[in-house]
Amino acid sequence: MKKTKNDFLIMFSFGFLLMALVYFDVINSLKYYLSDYNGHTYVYLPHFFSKEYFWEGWKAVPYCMWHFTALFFYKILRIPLEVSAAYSACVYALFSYLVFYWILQKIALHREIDDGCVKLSLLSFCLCIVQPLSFYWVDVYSFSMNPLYNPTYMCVRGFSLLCFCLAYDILCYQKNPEHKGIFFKVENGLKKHYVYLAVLLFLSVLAKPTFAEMFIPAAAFFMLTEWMMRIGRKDGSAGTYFKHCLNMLLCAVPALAYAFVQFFAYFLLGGSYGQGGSLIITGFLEVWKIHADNVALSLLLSLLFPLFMILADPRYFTESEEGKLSIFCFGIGFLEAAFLGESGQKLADCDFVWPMMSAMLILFLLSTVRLNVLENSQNRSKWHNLAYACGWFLFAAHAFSGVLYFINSITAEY
Amino acid sequence: MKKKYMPYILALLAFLAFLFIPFHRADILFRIWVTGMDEELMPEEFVLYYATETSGFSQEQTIHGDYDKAHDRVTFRINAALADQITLLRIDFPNETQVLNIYNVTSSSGGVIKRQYNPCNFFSEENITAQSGLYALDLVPRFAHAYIGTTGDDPYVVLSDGLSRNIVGCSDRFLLIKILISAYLGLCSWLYEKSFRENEK
Repeated sequence: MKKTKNDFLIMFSFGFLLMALVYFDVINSLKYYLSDYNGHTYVYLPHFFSKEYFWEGWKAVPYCMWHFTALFFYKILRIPLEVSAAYSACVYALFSYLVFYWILQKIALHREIDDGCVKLSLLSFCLCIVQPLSFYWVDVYSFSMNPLYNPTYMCVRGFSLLCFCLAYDILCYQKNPEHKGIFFKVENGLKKHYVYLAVLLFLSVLAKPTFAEMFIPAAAFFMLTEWMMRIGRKDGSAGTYFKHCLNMLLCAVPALAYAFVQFFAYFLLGGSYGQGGSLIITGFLEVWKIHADNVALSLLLSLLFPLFMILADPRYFTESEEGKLSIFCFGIGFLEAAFLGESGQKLADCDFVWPMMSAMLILFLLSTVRLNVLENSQNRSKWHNLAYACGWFLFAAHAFSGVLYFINSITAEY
Repeated sequence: MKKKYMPYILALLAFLAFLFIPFHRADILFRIWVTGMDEELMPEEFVLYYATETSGFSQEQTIHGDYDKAHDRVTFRINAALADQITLLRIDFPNETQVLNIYNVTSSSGGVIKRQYNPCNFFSEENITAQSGLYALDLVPRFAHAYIGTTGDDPYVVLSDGLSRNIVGCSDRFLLIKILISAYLGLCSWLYEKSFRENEK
């Protein structure tokens, strides 16, 4: 499936559209003094301008990849500060879009699906903007799988998807050495892939540690479950698999080390906006209930499409490796959101809901991929068509909410 | 024959049980969407006094509402059990000389907005039985905004009996969400049976 000149044109047209939307969104939200972009651009970023305040800035945002990118545009290329912030957001939005496109393309190739460039571009674009459904009569806050208002989450999004794909190929190869790899060629061994995973995880922590906070424990539980099952089977494979577990743990060490340094800087050295907050274990859903009186409704509005796929096709999510890994990711993310919080004034900031939001994006990705694969399978009875139509309708509803988000955000007057 | 229908009968029973098992009643969130004409003057807190059949307004019967700057709104959480006893409500504005621009008033429960009031109707003469400390109460029906000029002399408005009961009389038992979840589960299971069951992994 070679790309023609037109394919590139279509692919980058959607990418350009996404960048344009993000650009105007950021420029407008910078005017609002309570927006995340405003805080990161006018409060944190200036700390990195001089050596004198650099340490203070790093303590407040040790996950500073987005800030350094904005700094590159501002200090090296001499572009105005607001435009630098918008450009760096555009860079990471395009990066995520290309990663989505690459994932969908790799799966299409693997499943021998003849998806055109337009469909892949459109799906990637939609995955970049999907939002929880919103209705004027609903009075609950729904957490988004694409919090476009947050620069650091937008920065980690592409890395998180790459980590998931690489981990999937590694885990599949560890289970079955005949697995050649869908995203990465793992047929010649895993050594360099372990290094790739370590680097990608570290980069994700440098962008925002929230993905690693969810993914490392999820992968660990996933592997431990498999190891226990092998011990139960008594076929002698548990020992070999345990070595794989140790290798994966080593991959996580750099990311974990930097995450602990961040944690230390943020909570113990006073980086937490100087408010002296600390990590606390809360009552079940205590933080969530600050923003949503009805958590079930909040969750349903966020995950209507993935829940449809999980309930309508449960075997995929309980038997396939990627499906199981995504469920583990969401389970860990949900538990962190349900039981963790920051003490004091920052409890309402929901800083431990971010990991769940990353897991929600993975569920969205896999649900889309699964629906696309099923639609291209041989089963095309009227019931199948109805099921596919329902799935795409829900997906489109989430994407439409994303379009509405941009319209509201870009046209908002502050 | 019996075996064939058993899963459906069990599913129906589970659905009915889920629907009719009473959940606790959700609290009422009474929200006033308001901006100050001068942002610097907007203080943090509003107070809602309530009277019951046995006692009038008093310092012991208050609900404090925090002003949420991000959403321009004040939220009062009224306990569901308390709501049955409330007969009258009094909204106390901050002790500041300022003009408040109220552009929406809602009463929601269980995550669903049950009542939405046009500020011009909400603060109309028939809905306000008493007021104090206000130097202006201008209603602009064209834009559905109410402008309230408050002084530093304990400004408040007392809502009428009917409006007060209307605000607090919408406590939800999560029936809508239960029906939605059941319908959603039913649709997904049905599609699974009809189409996805025989799919390959």
